[in-house]
Amino acid sequence: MLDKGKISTRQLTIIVALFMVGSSILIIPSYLATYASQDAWISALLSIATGLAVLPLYIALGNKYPGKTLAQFMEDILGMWLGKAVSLFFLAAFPFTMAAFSLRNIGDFMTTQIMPDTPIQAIHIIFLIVVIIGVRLGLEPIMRAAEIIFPWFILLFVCFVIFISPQIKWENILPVLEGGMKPVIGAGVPFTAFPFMETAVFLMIFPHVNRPDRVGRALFWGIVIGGAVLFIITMMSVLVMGPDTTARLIYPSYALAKKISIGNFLERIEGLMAIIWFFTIYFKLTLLYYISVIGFAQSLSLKEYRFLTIPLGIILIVYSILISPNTSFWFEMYTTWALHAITLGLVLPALLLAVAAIRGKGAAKAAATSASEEQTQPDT
Amino acid sequence: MKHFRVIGRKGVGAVKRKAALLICVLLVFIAGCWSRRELNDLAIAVGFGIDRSGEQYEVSVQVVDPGEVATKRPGSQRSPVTMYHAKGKTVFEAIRRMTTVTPRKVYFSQLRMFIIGDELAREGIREGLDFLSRDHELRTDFYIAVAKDLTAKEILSFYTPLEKIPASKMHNSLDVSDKSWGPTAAMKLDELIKDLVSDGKEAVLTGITILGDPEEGTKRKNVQMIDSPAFLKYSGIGVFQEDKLVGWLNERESKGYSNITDTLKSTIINAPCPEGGRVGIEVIHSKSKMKGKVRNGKPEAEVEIRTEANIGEVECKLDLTKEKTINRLEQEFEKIIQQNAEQAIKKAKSLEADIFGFGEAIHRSNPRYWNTIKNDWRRQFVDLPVHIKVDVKIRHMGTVSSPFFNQLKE
Amino acid sequence: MWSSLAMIAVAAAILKLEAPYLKKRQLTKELRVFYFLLLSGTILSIAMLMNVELPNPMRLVHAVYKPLSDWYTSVLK
Repeated sequence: MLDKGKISTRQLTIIVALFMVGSSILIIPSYLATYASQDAWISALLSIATGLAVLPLYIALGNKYPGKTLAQFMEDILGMWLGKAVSLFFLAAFPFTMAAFSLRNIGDFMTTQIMPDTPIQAIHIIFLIVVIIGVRLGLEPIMRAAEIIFPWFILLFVCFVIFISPQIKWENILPVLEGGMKPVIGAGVPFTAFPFMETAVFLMIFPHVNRPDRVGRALFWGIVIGGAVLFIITMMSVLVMGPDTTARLIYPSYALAKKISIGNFLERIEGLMAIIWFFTIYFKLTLLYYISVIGFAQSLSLKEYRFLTIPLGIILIVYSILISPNTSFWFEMYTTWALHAITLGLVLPALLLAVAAIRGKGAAKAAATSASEEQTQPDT
Repeated sequence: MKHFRVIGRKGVGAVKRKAALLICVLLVFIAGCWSRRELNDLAIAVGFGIDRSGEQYEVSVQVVDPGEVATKRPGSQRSPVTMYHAKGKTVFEAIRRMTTVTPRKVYFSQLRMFIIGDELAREGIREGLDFLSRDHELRTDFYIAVAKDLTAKEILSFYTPLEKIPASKMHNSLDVSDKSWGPTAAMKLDELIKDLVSDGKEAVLTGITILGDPEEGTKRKNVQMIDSPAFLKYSGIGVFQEDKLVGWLNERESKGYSNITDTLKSTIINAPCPEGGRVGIEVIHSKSKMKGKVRNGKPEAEVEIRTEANIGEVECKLDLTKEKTINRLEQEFEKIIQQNAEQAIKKAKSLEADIFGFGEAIHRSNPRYWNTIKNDWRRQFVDLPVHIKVDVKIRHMGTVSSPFFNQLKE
Repeated sequence: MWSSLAMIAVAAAILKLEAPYLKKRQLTKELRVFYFLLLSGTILSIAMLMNVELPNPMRLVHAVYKPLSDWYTSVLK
């Protein structure tokens, strides 16, 4: 076992929640408002529901191979060479790419809103150094850190919501369903993909949970909490700033934080609020990078994983700069990325489960016959 | 064994005491010095200007009145700086003659600005500069500028709002302008002399002038009103042939110049939109490389400009969420940057002054060839083909995607 | 130019940091993977520092899914 860490179900819930919020909190409200306008909140709810609906798929797949991560049981299902190949491809195309994207998110946010003259590579490198430290320490320390940070995250978030609520204008969500359900669903599907389909990567973590029977429940609550945060932020953005402004802003959550003004005294605290997304992006990025590194090591059947962290880190930095030549590129990629996420996060696990079921039947038969043989020949 | 006895009896103590006494005696000589000058014997000069006055030089010095500047209470009616001037056949003589009017001896180490009058610049600045480089008190961290269409004296007697010491204001504003607005060239003494001396590069100096009524600027009233009737302004880059001012670059040409010589740090560039209106980008990184070549016995130069920018302002209906729009914009701006550079080169050629240093570039790449043409470089420069390659990458667009007026009804 | 040299220096430092542990435990496969990754990473970084236009994998993803995405947007209208 590369990493002998054990995590509790509560830690799993927390990390899933933080992961969901992750980098989505920065850009999702804008996207939803662009397509669903004032019904963005309905979209958000629908997406959360859909995200939860696919949970059973992951649980079923995870339970088929207890004690093994996705990278490992991929080989069991597809055979050694195909399994390794698909596993490496999956890791590169999904967690590793998402890690690059998350890193780029925080870098872009910093250079757009806070420190425009700083070269983006500097931010990436410094952020990644902390991520690498976390990954090298192992899963348990990461989870424990998440556990410690989580209450603060909740506190900051709740304060954020409370402070901004006096500025709510309820008429901003009227008229409801003006365009009918079509735009709402339309906006919802890509939102479901990003971030909810990304939950598939948690299949790499299942074996570490100390109570495997409660994994499903942990995931469920994690998605609910994370989804709730995203829903609330989207709702707040539309309620306070209106759908048009929300759609136009690239980082509506930050603009929302700028508006906080209580009693002429509690103002200009958006920097403090930005700490929220620092936490969430950090944990999302750390988890994704951890998964990428561990998965890579498992696919190649290596006995150690820590030495991979720095070289892969260099590649990640290059990738994170490469991944988007400018901000407009991602606007166009939104739907295509969502489809990609659905393919790797939904279709692939479903396929794997199907193949596993077919094979399982055959294997079960063979196991049953050998078990019955043993029974009839006891050793004494 | 015998010598150790000297130290032995009375002890190391005796040697120690003798050494201490010796040090004390020496200290008396070290602490004092011949060249000491107390602070209240000095007139700290922050601005220094030279003009032509008939056959002589006229030297103007802007001196700080420390009492006026340091105080936190709104000052009395005295101005924070004072000006002194004097004439002389050489610059040095003029400065010494100034002691007939200054209550103290002028101290130049804190100098911030050195201004050369327009007339003198056209005649040649070499004499004025020699004093600056030779005097031990002067450092090289002050900026140099040419007073455009004015005398240095007029520039230095100007009141400035927001900054009590006008020379400081000039220095800071040139600093800031150089960093965030391309068409200014902040020149210090050592760079200037290097360019003057170099065969392959001519010098430039930024021009400073007064917007509004110069007469008004010299009155205290200038800073007592919210909208001052007169302002000091940096304007254009002055082109020199050897040490004589021969012409000016306008704003566009100055931008081109900064771009080619890699002194552009950040600026704004505007481009027209296809359906009318403008787009403005803010340059955040810019690097340029200059290469000199010799092809078929003829000199050639290549300039490669690489720019990274963010979209700063959109005044037309653009859809910024499409990458194609960004690519189109990048091409537009590449064209504009190229045009600016070409115009700058054209102007410099018309003034027969290679201010960019192409000669230097050829010297670096092909010294032997350079030696054959360096004496004729001024004319060779006029026919020099320069190939300019520009690469613009637009990264971010600020905090909103498409402009809000895309949704306004026209 | 200098940044590329700095990058190589960094890579050498990383090598010195991580390789001895692997060598000591005789993990040859791991060592080879390490060299490969470090080399790739260094080459990519230097390419980026020298402003070489590296291909963006996302363009491939975009191209692959574009037909589906276009169909999806047209269905929505």
